This record gives sequence, C-alpha cells and structure tokens, in this order.
Amino acid sequence: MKIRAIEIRNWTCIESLALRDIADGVVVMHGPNQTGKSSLVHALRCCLFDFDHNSSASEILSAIPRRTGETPYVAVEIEIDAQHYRVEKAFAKTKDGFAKLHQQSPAGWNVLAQGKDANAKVREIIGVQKSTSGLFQLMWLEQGEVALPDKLDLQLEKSLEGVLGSMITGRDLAFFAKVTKACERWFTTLMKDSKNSSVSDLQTKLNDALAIRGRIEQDWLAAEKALKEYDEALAQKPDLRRSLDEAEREFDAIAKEREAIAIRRSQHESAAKHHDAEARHVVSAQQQLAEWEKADRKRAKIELELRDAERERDILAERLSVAQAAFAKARETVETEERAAANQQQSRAGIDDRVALLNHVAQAEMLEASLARIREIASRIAEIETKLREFPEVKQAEIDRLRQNREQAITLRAQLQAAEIRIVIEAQQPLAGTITLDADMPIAITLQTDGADQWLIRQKAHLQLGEWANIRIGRVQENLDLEKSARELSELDRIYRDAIRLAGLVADSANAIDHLVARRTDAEAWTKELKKLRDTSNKKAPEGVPAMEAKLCRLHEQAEAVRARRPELREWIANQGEIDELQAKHETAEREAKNRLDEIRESARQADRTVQAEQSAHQKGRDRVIQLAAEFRSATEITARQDHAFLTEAVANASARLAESEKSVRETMLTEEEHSIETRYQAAQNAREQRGRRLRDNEMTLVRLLATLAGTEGLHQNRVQAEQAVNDLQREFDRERLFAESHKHLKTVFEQVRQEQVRRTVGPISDRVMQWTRQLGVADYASLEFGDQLLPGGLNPSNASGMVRFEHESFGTQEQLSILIRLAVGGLLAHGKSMVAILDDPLAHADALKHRRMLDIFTRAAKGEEHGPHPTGPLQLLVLTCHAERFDHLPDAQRIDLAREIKRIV
Amino acid sequence: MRFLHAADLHIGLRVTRFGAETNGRVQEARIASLDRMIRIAQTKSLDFLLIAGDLFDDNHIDGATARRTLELLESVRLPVYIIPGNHDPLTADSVYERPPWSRIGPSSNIIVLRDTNSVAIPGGMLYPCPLTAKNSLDDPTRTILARSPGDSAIRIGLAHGSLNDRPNLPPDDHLIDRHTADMKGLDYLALGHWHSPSRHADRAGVIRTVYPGVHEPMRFRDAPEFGIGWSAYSSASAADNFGDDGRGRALIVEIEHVGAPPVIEEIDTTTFEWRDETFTLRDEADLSTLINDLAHREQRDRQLLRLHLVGTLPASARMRLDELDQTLSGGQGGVLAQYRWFDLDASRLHAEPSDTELRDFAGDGIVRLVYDRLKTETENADARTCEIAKQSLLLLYRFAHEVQQ
Repeated sequence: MKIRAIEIRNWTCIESLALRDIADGVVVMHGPNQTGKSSLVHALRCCLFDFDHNSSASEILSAIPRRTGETPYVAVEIEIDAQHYRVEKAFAKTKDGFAKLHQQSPAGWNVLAQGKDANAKVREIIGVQKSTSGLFQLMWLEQGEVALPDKLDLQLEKSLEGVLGSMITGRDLAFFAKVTKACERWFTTLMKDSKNSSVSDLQTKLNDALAIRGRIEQDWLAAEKALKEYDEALAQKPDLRRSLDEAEREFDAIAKEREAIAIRRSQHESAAKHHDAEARHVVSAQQQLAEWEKADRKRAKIELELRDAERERDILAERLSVAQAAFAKARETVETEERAAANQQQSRAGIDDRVALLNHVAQAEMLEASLARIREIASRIAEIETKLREFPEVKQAEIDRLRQNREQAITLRAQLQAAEIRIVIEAQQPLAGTITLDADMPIAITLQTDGADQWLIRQKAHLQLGEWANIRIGRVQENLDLEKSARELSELDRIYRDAIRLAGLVADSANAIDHLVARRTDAEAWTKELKKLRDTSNKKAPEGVPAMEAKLCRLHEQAEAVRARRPELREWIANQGEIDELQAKHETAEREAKNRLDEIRESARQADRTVQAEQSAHQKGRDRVIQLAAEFRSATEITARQDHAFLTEAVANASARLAESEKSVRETMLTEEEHSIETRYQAAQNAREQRGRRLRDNEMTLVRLLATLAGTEGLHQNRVQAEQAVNDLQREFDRERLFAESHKHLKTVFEQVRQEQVRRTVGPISDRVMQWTRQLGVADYASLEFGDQLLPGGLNPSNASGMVRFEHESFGTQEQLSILIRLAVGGLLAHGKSMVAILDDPLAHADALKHRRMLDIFTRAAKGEEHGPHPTGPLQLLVLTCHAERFDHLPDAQRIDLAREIKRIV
Repeated sequence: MRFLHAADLHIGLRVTRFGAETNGRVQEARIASLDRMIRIAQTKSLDFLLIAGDLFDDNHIDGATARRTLELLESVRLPVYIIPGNHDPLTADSVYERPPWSRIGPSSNIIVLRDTNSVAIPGGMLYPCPLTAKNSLDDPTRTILARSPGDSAIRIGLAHGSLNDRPNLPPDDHLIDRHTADMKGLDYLALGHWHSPSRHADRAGVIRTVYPGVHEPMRFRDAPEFGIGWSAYSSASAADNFGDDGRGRALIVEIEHVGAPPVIEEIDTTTFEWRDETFTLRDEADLSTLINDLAHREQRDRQLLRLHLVGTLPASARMRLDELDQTLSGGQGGVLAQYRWFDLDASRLHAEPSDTELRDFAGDGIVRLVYDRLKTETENADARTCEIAKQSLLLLYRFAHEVQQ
C-alpha cells in the first residue's frame, strides 16, 4: 500500500489540509511543533483502519475541533497492487457522518461501497483490521516509539512465516519440553551430570563391586602364591633334613674329641697353678730377706739422727728462755707509756668542753640579735598594713575617670550657663514671694530695693510676689537639649561626689583629685616596703620565729650542761685565745707521747715475735726427737724378730721347688690343634643349630601355607559372585548411561537443529540488518539473536561473549537498530507488493554522522532490491519531522512543508 | 567289563554373565545333570564309573558343593574312580585334601586316585594319571607301564590332558602322546580335558582313545565371543574340541576281553539348552510369527536363548518389540512361562518409518530435521556414536508418539 493523497478538514487543530501527488520513496513532511503532524498520522489511522465513520469513541470525539464543533472529515487516496482507492470519512453519528470507498477507473472515481460496507471493505482491501495489526505494527511508528514490540502481531507472524518459513512449531516445543523433562532424571538444567542420578548411583555401586572383586582377586592371587611357595618349601624339605643329619654327625665327633682334650687341659691347669704358687713363694722369701736388710740399715741411720736431734732441742730451749725474758720487760714499758697517754687524754676533754661552751654562747648571741631584728621588722609591717587599710589605694583608672568626669562637667556646665536665661529684678520696694525655677521646687524669696536680684533659668520661671505680681517667664519653645545636658551634668556630679566620698575625702574640696593622686603614690611606696620587709623577715627566720626561739633555748641548755660537767668553767668567760693556747700545748705533748708509745709497742711486738719463733723451733726439735725415737724402736724390733741366715736359706729352697713345677707345666701343655677344639666345637654347634632352624622354618612354612590354603575354601564361589555382581552392575550401568547419553544427545541435536533453523529462517532479516549496522558504523556485533521469535531480542557480539539485549544499548543505538529491523522486515514483506512506513519524528537521538548514514539507509530501503539472495520490495517512507534541515541529504525525497499546507483552526 | 566314562563336570562352574538367579541355576544344572547321569548309570548294569578329571571347576569351591557332589557319587553304590584334573589338581589346597573328600574311608565306593599306582578294578587293571598342577610340560601318561608279556588283563588308562594329535597345541597343556594306547597296550584310554566328544583310533583302526565331552554344556556354541565368565586354566583356546558342542553327555563303554574293540554308547545328560538364534524380519507379520513361535516352544524354562533380529521394520511395528520382550520374559500377566534366560539383540534390526509415518509423528518442523540428523548418525563408523544415535532415535519415536497422542 502507498498513500497518494490526503485531505483533512476539521480534525483537532487542523482546519484544512490537502496533499496530493504524494511520491514514492522517501517523503519528508516537515513543520514546526504544534503544526499538526501527529494529528495528521492520527487522522490516517482513524480513517483507514481504526474507526467507522459513525464511531463515538473518545478518540473520534476528541478530534472534533472544540472551537468550531464542525464534523471531522478525512479522505485518503491509497494505491494497492496498482489500484487506486479513495477512502472518505466524515465522522459523526448524525446525518452529517458518512463513509465512502471509491476506486479509480479510466472513467473516473467509482463508489465501491458506502457506510458500514465501506468501513469493512477498506479493511478488507488493506488486509488488516487495525493500524497496529500486520506489518503496520512495525512500520507505522508513533512519535517516541523506540523499542521493538514484545510480541509480533499474529497476522504479521504468519505473513513472515509465509515468506521466511516456519521457525518452530507447537509440536516441536511440546517434544522439546518432554525431552527436557526426561533429561532431568540424569542432568541439571545446564545439562551437567546430576550428582544424584541413577547413573552416578550405579557408578558408585559398580566401583564398590569392582573394589570387592579386586580384593577377592588379591586373595586368589595370594592363594596361588601360597600354593607355589608350599610346593617350593616341600621340595626343599628333604635337602634340609639331609643337611641337618650331616651337621649332627660332625658335631658328635668333635664333641668326643673335646672331652678328651678337656682332661689334658685340666692337668695342665693344675700344673700351672702349682707353678704359680711356687713362684709366689720364691718372691715372698726374697722380699722378706730384702726387707730385713733394709730395716737394719735404717735402724743404724736413725740412731745417729736421734742423737743430733736431742742436742739441737736443748739449744733451742735455752734460746726460748732468753726471748721470753726480753718480751716481759718490753710489755712492762708499754703499759707505763699507755697510762701516761691516758692522762693526756683527760686534758683533751677539758679543752673540747671549753670549745663547745664557747660555740654555744656565740651562737646564742647571734640568734638573739636576729630575733631582735625580726621583731623590729614585724612592728614596721604592722604599721604599714594599718596605713594601707586606712588609705586604700586608688586605681589610676579611677583617677582618670574622675578627671574625665570633671572635664565633661565643666564643659556641660559652660554650655548650660551660656544658654541660661538670666532674670534680673530690681525691686522698687521690698517684696516677698516665691520663685520656681524650671522644674525645681518653689523657693521663697524676698526682693530688696538695694540692687538687683538675679537668677538663671534654662526654660522657665514662675515668680509669685504676693498680690503684687505673678510673673511667668519662659521660652516660647522648650529647649530639650538643655534639659538633657542638665541631666547629664547632674549625673556626672553625683558620680564624682560618690567616688570622692568613697575615698574618704570631701567632695567639694577643690584638690580632692590631687589628694587621690598623692594617696596612690604613698600606697605604692608602702606596698613596696611591705614586700621588702616580708622578704627580709622570711630570710632571717625561714623556719619561723618560734623555731628560732626553741633553738636559742637549746643552746642555753647545752651551755649549762657543759658548766655542770666542769664546775671550774662556771665563772669562765669564753675566750678563743685561751683555748687556742691550751690546744697547742696539748697537741705537742700528745704527739710526743704517741711517738714514744709507738716505738715501745714495736719493740714489744718484736720481742713477742722472737718468742713465738723460738717456741716453734723448740717444738719442732722436740717433735723430731720423739719421731726418731719411735722409728728407732720400730727398726730395732724388726731386725730383732728374724735371723738373716734363716731367710737366706728359705730363698734357696723356694727357688728349687719353682724349677720342678716349671718342668711339670711344660710336660702338660696342649698342642695348637688341641687349642682350636673350642672353635671347631662352636662352629659345628652353630652349623647344627642353623640347619635345624632352617628345617623348622621349612616345616613352619609348610604348616603356615597349609593353613592359608585351608582358608581358601569357598574362594571360588566368592570370586564368581564378585564377578557376577560386577557384570550385572556394569551391564546396568552401561544401559543406564547409554539411556542418559541418548537423552542428552537427543536434546543437544534438537538444540543444534533449532539454532540452524533459526539462522536459516531469520537470515534474510539478520543479514540485511547486520549489513546496515556495519554501514552505520556499529561493528561490534556479528549477528542478531532471535531465540524462538521472528523478532530479535538482541545482538551477538563478534567476540562471542554472550548476547547483548537491545535495551542495554544506548537510547540512540536502540532506536536506530529498531528502525533498521523494521525496514528489513518491511522490505521483505513488501517484495512484490508495496508498503508505506510512517516515521513520526525519527532519529531524534542520533548524532550527525549516524543521522547522515541512516538517511542513506532510508534511501536504499525505500528503493528495495529486486535481485540478490533476499529480494525486497520498495517502501514509501513518510517521515514527519520538525527539523527539516536534518533531512536535507535526501536529494530525491519529496519535501512537504506542512506549516504551509495545513490551515490551523485559530 | 562295562563302565561309565565321564569327564569335565566342572561342578561349581564360574558363571557370571546372566544375573544372580540364572547364574545359580546354570551352576545348579551341572549337579542336576550329574544326578541324571547317575540315575541312567544305575540302569545300565555297570561295573564302575570313571571320571577323567575336572570333577570340580576349582579347588577353592565351597564345602557345601563339595559335600553334595560326594553324596551324589556315594549314592551310585558302584566304585567311582576319580583323578584330579587341571582345574582341581592334587595340590596342597586341593579339594580332595579337604573334608569331606579328605575323610573318605577305605570302605567308600569313591576312590580318589592320588598317585600313579595301578589299581585292580573289576575285570582288569586301571592306570591312573592324576594331575598335580594346572599346567605341566609332562605327559601325564608317562608313568603307565607298557603291557608285560603274558599280561592278559584288560588295561584301562585314566588321564586328563590334550591329545597331541595336531600342531600348535600349548606345550604346557599336559600333552598326551597320541599313540599312548598303542605304546602302553591299553584297551581303553579314558581321557578328559576337551569339552567336545572326541574319539581316536589306534594303529589298527580301533577306537581306544576317547574324550566324552562335558556332561552339561557351558556355552553358546556359535557365539564363542559371548563369554559367560568361565575361562580355562590351561592356555588352550576355547575353540574347536576344547569348547563344548552345546550338548551334555556321558559314555557307557563295554569291553568284552583283552584286545576287543570297546563298544561305546552315548547317554544324554543335558539340563539346559544353550540356543543362539537369528531371525530376519521384513514386516510386522514376520514379527508376529516369531512372537507366536517363541510363545509356544516346549521347555522354555530349560532354554538359554540369544535372539538376534535382523532386517527392517516399519516404525510402528518396532513398537511391538516390547511385546516380544514380554513374551521372552514371561509377561502378559504371567500367561507365558518365561525363558530361563534370554538376550534380545535388535542392533541389526532397522526401523524405517514411511513418509506418512514420519509426518504423523514428527511433523514438518524441527523434530523431523532431528530425525534426519540422527538417522545419518546411525551410519557413523564409530560404534558408540552409532549406538547412541540409535537409542536417541528410539527416544525420538517415543516422545514424538506421546506428543502426537
């Protein structure tokens, strides 16, 4: 269908519009906002599809111009399959409403149908019931409509299927649902192996059965091995027995030989023992002889030494007596000198007491002087504090404030005086009366004739002179400034008087402020003196006067104690010179006595050391004599016990017996071979035990293996059962797994085929849109994603990172993609026919470059492609816009200025 | 002299293929067949019985099985001479060295021949060759002394091993010289080890060396690849003589005098039939016929059946495979007796829906395209891919059918 002409009257804001000869291809209808573009589209929808001429729907009622109330009239001329029709509708329920369908013939327009028939016939010719049905759902866009519809109109879907082929049937979907449901038995929704499926359960059981079979096979192999070992052990047994018998025979022969050798060994050992005893006897006899001879030589030597020692001891005893006498004399001299030194010490104590008394007296005198000075200072402090209390210090700021007060008072007073009114009365005769000055109380006055009486007033005065006169004097207008100054002056005077009185001065005194200054100077001097006195007092008595007095008392007591100890000092007047003289004398005497005593003590100590040495030497001499005497007695006893000749004979006898025993030992000695009997015996015994052990081990092995083999009864059945279980489970597992994999395979193949079907079916749309998308400059995507629908839901990126839904793209791209898909679908369906698309204010969000490219695509889409794998038909594109300049790059487009064509209702 | 010759009874057989209950039944069948063999023997006026090795499948069988076997053989009331074979060799853990077999007294009719000493038997001498190991390079019959001049007794050899009558036999499989009967002057060499019956003539053309085969089969004859879990302890392959022929039997042997040709009679001792069958189906009628046939076979509970279906069926008929399955398993409310065991192999049975069928259940949408894709995958060389594709196709039929309904 193409639209060739439009005529509208009385439609919302449009009073009239008549467009004729609307061209093929792109038609740009432009005009500013409020021109009536959307009303035009609305009129087309209502006239061609949506409403009958006598409809009372709100959309129709709202189209009636409110100002004029005229009947809306729309006529549209359309071309379908080279036939031209004209649809006319006047929308009213009254007789004014009508509908007519005309068809053009060479002779002119013929009415095909009228009224209700016309309404139905129009829909029949166009092929849809509503403006949102069929291809119109996609191709007639409202203003601002960007997204693709969620679901295709059923009629449009069928049309597309007619062109593209079926995508998926209801039977396919039901089949797939069944397969998917069946797969849940083994697989997750992502077709991963389910953990709790029968396959995994069987796998677990099969593994368990395999493990059991493995264990039984191990037992089986162990039994085979045991049997082999048994046969080997059994074969070894005769050899082991024979070997043991040989070892036992050899052992018995060696044992007999050993017994014979043992007797000879015993004889030899006995001879050797006898020989050893004889050898010991010879040594003993020789030792005894040597000891006797040695003792005799020693005795003679000791005898000589003893005589020398006795002589020495006597000499030492004499020397000890002399030393002891010298020591006694020296000791006596020391004691004499020590007594003299003690007397000298008494003299020293007397001097020390004098020194102590002198110190006590001197300290007491100094302390008393300090106390007197402190008391004097305390008196002066009390005096100053009294003065400061009587005449408190006046602050400099206060004085300054009073000075300022007086200066302000003088100024104000001068101002008042200058403005005051002087009243002068010179009475001719005495008069008595009262006068009231300003706001003061009346004052009694008496006027005398001598001279004039005068007063000063600020504002007014009232003079009452009895019956004689009652005079009122005043300013014509009261001077309020004067009153204010008078009040300020009065306040200043009051403050001044109070301050002066507070300082204890007379307020009227002319030099009261000077007094305050003098008093301030005095107070500062007193304060300084007071601080100085207090510092002095604190320095002299840091611990306080009571502590000083206590200390003085202690000094007096200490002096009295010295005097009590030395009565001769009671009347003594302390004198440092006397003390120094006594000390000099005492130190000289003391030094001399000490030197003498030291010398005498050293002599005594020397004598004592001589005595000690002589005593030690004498003791050693005595000890030496005692020791030698004992040794001499011992040596004498030894030599006296035995006889030298006897001992010599004993040695000779023992040597003879030793020679005899040596001969006997040699005669009983064993040969080398006899010596090796023990080694040979041990080796034979080891060999016998070793072979016996081998035989026992062999027998034990046989017993053990027999026991093992005895335990294999029934192993065959166990093996059979284990294998049977494995076979059963393996078969069941294989069958179940095949069943599961076949389900999965069926589902996988279905999905693959469906994908291929989708690609095949929607290819014409996808190819065209992707071609335009690349032309648009959007190169990130490889294909459209359709799912099961004939309308795509998104785009598949080139990097295969998963589908991107349209709504996730920018608003502008979304709109552009939406238009491209609509044009692609429209083009496909327009093949062999024609189709009009209406784009109301499109590409509002496209940048300049993309806008330009979209216009190129519009041009191509409008032309269509007769050739190629997917031929498309031409489109009539009605573009309504308020930005005519944006569509200047469409040189072949028809341009209609709606602002000029539409006559609006004013 | 008249005796029964049996071998390779493999009591306690290792069967792990069919599921617990059937496995137990298959094992139990070997005892049932032994019982059957004994009952027949008691009717044949025999002098004794010979068991030429592998009475037991393993030395480690359980005591109860060993006891049941002993009690059965004791019930014969005839001498029963037994030699250990390679599956129950006379080792330290031998079943014969354990109670109750180790406690068999001298008065018992059971004689386990533990050494190679000849034994006097009714009417002759028996030369036993017991095995003491699973494998050996030695000829078990080497210890049999050649007939002495003037020896007029009937000489019977009893051994277990492979008769060395062909090349490439494993050398450790107890190989027996094929001229043993001639060399040792034996009237009859009763052998065991090969599971199929086998008879060998001496230089004079008289059959004297004989394998009786198993008394109860233990495999599907034409499906050697289908293991039941059992494997031989020898290194011989399970093919040819070593595997059974699907039947169980024992031999009744009669020798009138020294040098007389033995007269050999077979007795059938089979309990379970092991059947491996293949059917070609072309249409639903074929399938109906097969179901009917299977439903009316005799002694179904004594049959182990491997059923292979090949051919092409329409998709709708393929749904009837469930009916076939129920027939085999005794479904339909228990009306039918079930087969003891069955395995239905439909891997070579192709379902080819017609275009009408396809439109009916798959429509013209994606399901149809999925069908085409899976159909292509079923021709994939990779077996696993092919298997999954086939199973997926079955699922597609099922789900599409459910959707259609």
